[in-house]
Amino acid sequence: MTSGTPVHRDPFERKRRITWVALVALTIGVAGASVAIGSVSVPLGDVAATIGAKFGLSTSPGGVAEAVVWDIRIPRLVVGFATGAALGVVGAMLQGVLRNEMADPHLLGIGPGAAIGAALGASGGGTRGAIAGGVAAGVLTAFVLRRLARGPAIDRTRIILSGAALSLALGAWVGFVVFGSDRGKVPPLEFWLLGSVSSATWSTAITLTIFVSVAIGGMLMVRRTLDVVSLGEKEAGFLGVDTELLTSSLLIVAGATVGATVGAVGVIAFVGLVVPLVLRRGMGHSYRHVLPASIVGGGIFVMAADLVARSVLSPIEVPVGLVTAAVGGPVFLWLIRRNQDA
Amino acid sequence: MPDSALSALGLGYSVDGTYLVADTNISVAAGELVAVLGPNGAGKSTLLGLLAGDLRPTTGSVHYGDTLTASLAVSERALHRAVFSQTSPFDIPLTCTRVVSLGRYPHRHDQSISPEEDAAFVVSAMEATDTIHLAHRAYSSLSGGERTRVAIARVLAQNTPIVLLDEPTTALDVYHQERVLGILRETADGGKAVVAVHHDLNSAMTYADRVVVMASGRVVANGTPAEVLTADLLASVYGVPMAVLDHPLHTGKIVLVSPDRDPGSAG
Repeated sequence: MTSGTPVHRDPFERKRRITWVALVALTIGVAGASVAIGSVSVPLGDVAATIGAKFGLSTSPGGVAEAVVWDIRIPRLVVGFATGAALGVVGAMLQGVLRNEMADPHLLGIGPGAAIGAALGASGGGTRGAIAGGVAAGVLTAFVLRRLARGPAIDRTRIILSGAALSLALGAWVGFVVFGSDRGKVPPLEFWLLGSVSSATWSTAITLTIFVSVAIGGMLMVRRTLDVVSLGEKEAGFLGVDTELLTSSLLIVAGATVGATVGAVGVIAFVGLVVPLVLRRGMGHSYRHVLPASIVGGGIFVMAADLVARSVLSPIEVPVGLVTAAVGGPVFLWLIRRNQDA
Repeated sequence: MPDSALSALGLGYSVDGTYLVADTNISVAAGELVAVLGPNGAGKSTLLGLLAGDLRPTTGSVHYGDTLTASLAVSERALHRAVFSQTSPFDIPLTCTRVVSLGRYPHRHDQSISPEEDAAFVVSAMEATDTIHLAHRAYSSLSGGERTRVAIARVLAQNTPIVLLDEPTTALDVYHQERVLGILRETADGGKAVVAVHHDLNSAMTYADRVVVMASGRVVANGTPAEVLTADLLASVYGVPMAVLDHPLHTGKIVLVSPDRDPGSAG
C-alpha cells in the first residue's frame, strides 16, 4: 500500500526551496533599496560603481555618492543585518530550548539587562566599551533568567511572565543609568530601549559581524539537538541530551550575543519572536531549517525596518525598534490567540 | 547463569522516606523478552525509570552488561538503552519521519555509520510499526495510538542492546497491540534485552519469555509465564479472583477475570 513512497521525500522540501529563494531575493532587494534610498538619492548604477571600485572592478563615482554609500549606508546595512541575524537565531534557539514559541530575548529581559551594562560601558569606552558592557550584562541577565526558570521541568508560562517582569524592571534601570551618566558620552534612553543603527560605523560593523558570526556558528551546531529537546525534557534525556547543561550554556550564548547587539544598536524588540514564527510557515518546525533561515530572515527584518524608520517620517528618523514593535506586537497577539484556539 | 545485558542488584528508590521500589533484583539476558506486571502503584514505572537511569537509585545499582549505569554520561546511556515512556508531550510539531530519525541522534558521532544506514534504520522502524503512511504528518496531529506507534518506531531506530517500554500497548487497538507485541518479540529474537511494563496479562502469557510480577514496590514472582501466572498468585496480587485456563486454539494459557458473584465488591 505504501510501497514506492520514499520516506524522505518531504512535501515541505519544495516550500523550503521557495522560501530560500524568497529570502535571498528579499535580502538583495532590501539591501539595494536601503543603499539607494535616503535623504540623498543615489542611482543604483552609482551604488554598484562605488562597491565595485572597492574591489577594483570599476571606477568610483566619487563625491557625495561615494561618501554616502560607502561610509554611511553600507556600514549601517551591515550592522542592521548582523543585528537582525543574531536576534533571529537567538530567538529561534531560545524558543527551541525553552520549548516555547513565545520566547524572545528582549521580552525575556536579556536585552534590557544588557542595555544597563552597555550604557555603563559606553560612558567609559565608547562603542567598543558599550559592546563589552552589553556582553557582560547580557550574560549576567541570562544567569538570572536561568535561576527563574530552574525546576524539574521548565514552567512555560512562568518563565515568560518572569521574563516580562524582568524586562520592565531592567528597562527602568537603564533609565537610571543613562540619566545618571555623562550625556556627552552615553547615548540617550531612546537609543537603548528603542534601538537605532543610524550611528553605525565600519568599526562597529566589523566588530559586530565577527562576534555575531562566531556566535551563530556555535548556535547552528545545536540545531539537531533542539529538535530532540522538542520531544520533551524526559525524552531528550533518554536520547542522551543533558537538558540542564544545554539550557544553561545556550542561555549564556544568548546573553553574550544579544548583549553585543545591544551595545552596538540598543534593544530592537520582537525580531527574535517574529522571525522564527513567520519562517516556520515556510520551513516547517525542524530547527535544522528554522535556525539557518532565521539568520537571513532576521537580517532582512531589521534592514527593512531601518529603511522604514528613516523613510516614514522623512526627514525625521524614528528609532528602528518602533517599527519592529509596531509589526511584532500584532504578530505576538495573533500568536497568543492562535495558541488559545489550539 | 548467562551473562546478562541488564541487571539490577538490591535496587531501591524512596521518596520522602517511602520506598516505591525496594530490594529488587532483576537480570535480563540478551534475546530475552521480560514482561513486568502488577497492579497500579506497584512500582512498575519507577522500576523502569531506575533501569533507564532516569531515576537515581536510593539503594543498589543497575548494570548495562558490565558497566555500572551511574558511571555513564547521559549521552553514553543513550547508546545502551532506548526508552518508550508515556511522558512525551502531545504538541510536538515535527513530522513523524523527523521524530523517528531523532532516534538516531545518539549515534551522530559514530563515523562508521553512513547516512544511508541511518536512513535505513528509520525506514525499517517505520515499516515495522506501520507508520510509513504517517511519514509527513505532524506528530501533534496524530491520534493516541498513532503517536504510540511513531514513538515506538523512534525507540527501535535507536537500535540499542536494551529496550525499555512503559505500557507500549495501552493506547492501541487489538490489531496494533498484536503488531507491537510481535515487534517486541522480534526485537528480542534479534538479540536485544527487552523489558516492557504491561497491563494485559494475556499478552504477557503469549509473548514474554519471563514475567516479573510486582506488588507494593517488590518483586513477588519472577519466572516463565506458566510458572508465575497462576490463579492464586494473580488473585492475591490484583485482589480479584482469576481463572487460568488452557487456550482453546493453541498451547498456552489464558487468564480470565472471574469475580465470584458481585463485581462491585472486588478489590
